Amino acid sequence: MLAIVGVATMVGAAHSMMKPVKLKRTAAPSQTDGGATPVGVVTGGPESTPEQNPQATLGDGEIGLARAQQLYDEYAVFLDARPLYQYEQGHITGSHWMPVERVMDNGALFFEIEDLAGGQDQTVVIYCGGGDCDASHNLAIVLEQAGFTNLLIFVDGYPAWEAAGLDTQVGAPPEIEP
Amino acid sequence: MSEHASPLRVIGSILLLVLRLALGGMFVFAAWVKLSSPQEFAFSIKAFEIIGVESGEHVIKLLTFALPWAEMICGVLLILGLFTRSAAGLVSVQLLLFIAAIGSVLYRKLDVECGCFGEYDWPCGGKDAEGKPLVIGMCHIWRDVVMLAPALVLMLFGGGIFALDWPRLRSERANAPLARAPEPEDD
Repeated sequence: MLAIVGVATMVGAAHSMMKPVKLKRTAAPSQTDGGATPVGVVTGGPESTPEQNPQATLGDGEIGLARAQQLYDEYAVFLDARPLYQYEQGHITGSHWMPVERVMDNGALFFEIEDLAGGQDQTVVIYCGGGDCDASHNLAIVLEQAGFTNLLIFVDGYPAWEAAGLDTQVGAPPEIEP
Repeated sequence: MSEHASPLRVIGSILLLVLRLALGGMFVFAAWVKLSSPQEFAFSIKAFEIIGVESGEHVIKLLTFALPWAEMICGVLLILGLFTRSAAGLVSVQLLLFIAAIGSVLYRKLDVECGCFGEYDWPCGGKDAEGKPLVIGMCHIWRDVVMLAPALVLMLFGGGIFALDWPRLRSERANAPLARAPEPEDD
């Protein structure tokens, strides 16, 4: 029995070196966002927009179109949590396709997001399809567990961005283009 | 296979074979699910809040892989009928640990998902009316108890005459005529 435990431990240790997983937060929360507090574990729904109730947005880590546009202009990292076909039909220019299933299947993507943002304490904006869509909230929960501390959810999502005539583009994400 | 096997022993061994295949198959499947999505399983272990992330990060990372590999090895050994008693013993220990961990989560009223079989968490999984995955409950404990029963049976009775253990044990017994015969796994 001990031999099985020993073999499993050695194989597991070797496997853990080949496929990293991420658990720990590495930086203190940043309060320099200037518009909304980080998500933490998101509890609020998408109903309250910042324009209607800015204080509620601060509490929930959710932002509306105006703040999202401001962060976009400041070159914040945008993550698209929608399915691939929706991303391909149109997404915020420069946003990265990161649905929660993809991130959960590949722990290396946590490092990629960290690199894109420049650290776990940097601002990361997540969006999905707006309305009742909860994909961005789910992704925020996963990223928060991985240690990201400055996650903001653009609750109105892609439909509002597109309707406002802001920068969009179509096509597959670069990493999976044929 | 024994030429002296009585009908009763054959029937008993068929039952043991069924138990081995069912339990071993379940453990191999559970291991495969966890190993194919280790990040999800790591979060499950973390969410149980039994090991602190700050102090036990490396332990959680090791468990994320060592636990499924132990399940995989035990499952394969059970299916083959090799070292059946040891494998069944370790499966029993794992199930007892799972039961204790789930009991601890229920006692502390933590709102976590099991992570036991990933999205195939039958019969305890599924989603609620709002589409959220069901969290850990008594169903998970009962499921582990149900799996513990065949594990204990296999630990007590071994793999039977259809197990790969059988020729080895017969050979060992035949080669030690003067000494007290080793406890055969099929008895």
